[in-house]
Amino acid sequence: MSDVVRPHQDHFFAQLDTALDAVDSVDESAPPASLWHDAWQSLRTRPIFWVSAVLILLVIVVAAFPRLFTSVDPTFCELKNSVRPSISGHPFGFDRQGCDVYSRVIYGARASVSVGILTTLAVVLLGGIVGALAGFYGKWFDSLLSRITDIFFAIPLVLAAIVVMQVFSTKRTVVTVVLVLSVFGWPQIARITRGAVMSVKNADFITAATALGASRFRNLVRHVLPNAAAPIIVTATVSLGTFIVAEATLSFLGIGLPGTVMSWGADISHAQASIRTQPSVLFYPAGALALTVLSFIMMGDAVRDALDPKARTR
Amino acid sequence: MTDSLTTPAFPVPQHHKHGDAPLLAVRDLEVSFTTAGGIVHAVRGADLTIYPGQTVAIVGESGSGKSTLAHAIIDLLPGTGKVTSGSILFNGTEVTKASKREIIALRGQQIGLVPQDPMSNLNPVWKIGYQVKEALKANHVDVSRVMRNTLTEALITDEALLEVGPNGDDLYLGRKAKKALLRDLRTALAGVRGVDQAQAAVDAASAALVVGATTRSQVVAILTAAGLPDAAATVRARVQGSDATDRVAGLLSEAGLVDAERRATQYPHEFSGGMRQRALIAIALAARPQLLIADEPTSALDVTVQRQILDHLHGLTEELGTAVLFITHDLGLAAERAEQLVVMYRGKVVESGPARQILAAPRHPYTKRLVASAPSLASRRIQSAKAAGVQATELLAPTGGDGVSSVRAEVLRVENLTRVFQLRGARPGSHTDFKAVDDVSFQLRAGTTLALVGESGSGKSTVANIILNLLDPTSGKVFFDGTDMSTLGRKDLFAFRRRVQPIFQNPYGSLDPMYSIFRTIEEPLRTHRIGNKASREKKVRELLDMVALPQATLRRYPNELSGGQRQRIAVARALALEPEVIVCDEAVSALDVLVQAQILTLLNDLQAELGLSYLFITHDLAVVRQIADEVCVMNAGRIVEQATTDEVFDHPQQDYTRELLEAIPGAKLDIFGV
Repeated sequence: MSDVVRPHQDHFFAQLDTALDAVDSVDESAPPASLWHDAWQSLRTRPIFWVSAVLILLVIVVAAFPRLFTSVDPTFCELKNSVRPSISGHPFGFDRQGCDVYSRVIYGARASVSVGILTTLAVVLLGGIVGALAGFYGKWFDSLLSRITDIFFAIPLVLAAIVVMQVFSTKRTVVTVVLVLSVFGWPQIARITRGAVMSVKNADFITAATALGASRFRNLVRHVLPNAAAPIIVTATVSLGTFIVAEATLSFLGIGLPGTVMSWGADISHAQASIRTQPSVLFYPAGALALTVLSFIMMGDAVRDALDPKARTR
Repeated sequence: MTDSLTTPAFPVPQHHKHGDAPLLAVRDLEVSFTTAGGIVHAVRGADLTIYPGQTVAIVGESGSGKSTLAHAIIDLLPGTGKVTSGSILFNGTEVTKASKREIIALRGQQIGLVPQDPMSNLNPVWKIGYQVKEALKANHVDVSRVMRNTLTEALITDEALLEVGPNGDDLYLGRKAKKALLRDLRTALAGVRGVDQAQAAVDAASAALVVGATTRSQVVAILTAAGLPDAAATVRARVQGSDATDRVAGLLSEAGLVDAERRATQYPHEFSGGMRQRALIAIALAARPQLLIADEPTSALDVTVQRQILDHLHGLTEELGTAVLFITHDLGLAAERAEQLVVMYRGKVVESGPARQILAAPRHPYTKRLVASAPSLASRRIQSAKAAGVQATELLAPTGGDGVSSVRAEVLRVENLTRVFQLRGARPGSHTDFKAVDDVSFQLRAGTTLALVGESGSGKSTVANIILNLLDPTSGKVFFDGTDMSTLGRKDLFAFRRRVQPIFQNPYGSLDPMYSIFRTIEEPLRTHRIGNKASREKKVRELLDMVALPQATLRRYPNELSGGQRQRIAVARALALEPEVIVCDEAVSALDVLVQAQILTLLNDLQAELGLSYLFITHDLAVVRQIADEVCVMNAGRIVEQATTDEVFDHPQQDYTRELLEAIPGAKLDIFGV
């Protein structure tokens, strides 16, 4: 090591132009932020979120207040109107039975949306509890619950529903459909919850809370679950769409909701007969179904991107 | 700083053996990143000069732009990073304007990179040897072709080319040739010196001859020394170069890996952190670059391993004449290893120049603070001051009260603590026992600080977890205030939690991201049902004052705070229940030097104010000197040395302690007048 200083290597020091007290400080004027706050900030800049939000809102309003959108009675059917194209007052025309298609699409929303929302709630509750307990308590308890989950996961949702719905053939209602779909639909949420809980439960802040004296259950409810919520919400939003499809499938097969309850699935099934003469009879309920499912899936995607910046596609 | 070099139009002549022209000249470099929050200027007007064969260190805390500057040199800026202005002139090539092809030619062949994290920078699915070979192939170092050419040349000119210098010679010893040579040596010596002596000479030669690394001229020297008559002729006949597999083993041996031939066939998960870092060094130096960029190459490793690796790297690069750009957050380490220092702060070079000059007379306020608070330097300064007869305590951060005194009541005692973990064996159901903590005893006196020091895997954190009652000991007892903890019921245990509180290492992980700061600090009070809403809020505000954070922090969330602030919050949370003992598990290890100093001062002040006792668990002896009254050194689950801090630093009894002390960066520096 020589002490000869070569060009550009002499002792240089800059003038102080940054306050050194700023070493360990944070902008205090900024508004308080949290995961949800940040997620909302990111969500509201996304057009896909607004499009899907407007569509979902519209579907829910239609389902809750169908009378706002049509004054035609969907059950008033006259065979003389069978497969007539649209006329004034009946924009979508008539189906084979001579019922107003527009009015049936509007009234059909209620069954689809309520089955979707109720099933999702039940599934999140059931799958969430099973997954959270399995993931948090681990060991043999996890093995037991996970194997049960695997068994249910192996059974195809629609196939199982077809078999079980046969049992309820006399008393098919929205509740029975929700029940059957929930019983066979929870494993996905359970798996997601288990994974999310397991990734959070070893975090330092859980150990810190334990050392403070917090009980295990308190830790699970107060610390683990809120931190594991994001992936559960995302999966739930996406699966809401699939449950609507499942209900439509069951109704299409004639084992979903009874004929007295109007649903898109049943209407699609009935439209089969007139698909050659008047395809629009099939198109409108199918379109409504597709749009609803699409908007829920789009919403799920948008929420996932907002909650998990790593998953954002460039 | 004005010179013709600032104008990149003038090309610098290439291949300087003894540099009067810089190898690397960075001038006025600006690098910025585009983020959602706007453009971030990561590097602002940075200058950097490296001459051939020189070691230069960039020092700065996290976020100072030191890594960004280094990555800009090899055009490896992540994501949206872009060089917006300035020039990077490497060996006559303007890197900022170079084409993709030129950059690829530059990387590996002329500039090598040793990345920061040895754990994630090797591909887990490929064998180590394959990954080194890949480095040779990617840089077109065709070992067998070199061999062929040399052979052809030798045939044509009919000369052995044995005069080539060690680094100019591409003809390395192959593994078959080594075997043959050793056989020759054995037969030659057996007749003259007897079997035993011959065996000894063969063993010695075998150790000295490294496959793929020893060149022919070296082979001749070694064999002549071993006593082989007419070594040159034998070598000429036997050594005909090495193939790629030999060369890979040679590169790994050069990087200091023992038994490299076998190691090359192993996978990264079979390597320890230090061994992986050696493999990465082998990869970086495979194509013999002129500049090696080492980005915090040892910050993930234990101090003793760090020292070995850096010593080795230094020797190797010196031998090869490679210039090194060393990036580190540790000023002591940088000063010890580099001739030139570049101190960066907030994207700017605030001070640069010869290392000793900067340490002895820092000019910029930031550097002054850095020099004052770097633990390795502080430790060194205390030592020097002592030798000069100055009271060491004056140089320390103010400690609580009167230091160690045996009259103080003991608050925590650990007796014969042992903890055995069962590791799963190869067959289902089988397991092996692993003693993480082996017969550990110590006591902590009220109002003092006891440091538990050891490298990773020494069992120090397991001890902490047992004391915090997060883990049960296999045998042994923990007495708190005279009470045996194992006899406590659920309710008493709950009460005990109030009296012993932890502060964890990672301030980013130990706070629940979903809780506001207020809720975080309030949680212990709420869990123990202390006070009502109003009194709890008052208490939280008091605690914030105590750790010197503004009240405005209350409504914020952890992700908005800096590392140091988060650790203050963790301290406030630990203090909420007015405990007597605080277990600090690597509480300052993840923080930048200046922040580390601030937190240590805070802990000291709180100890003086509240009479707290600290059990301070750390791997960093330099920090220990600043805070602890007593030290227990742990190695492989056992306490190997236990004494007062001064005693341990001044008269270490055990080799292991001595090794640890020597490994503190900056130990070799002589700027403080000893």
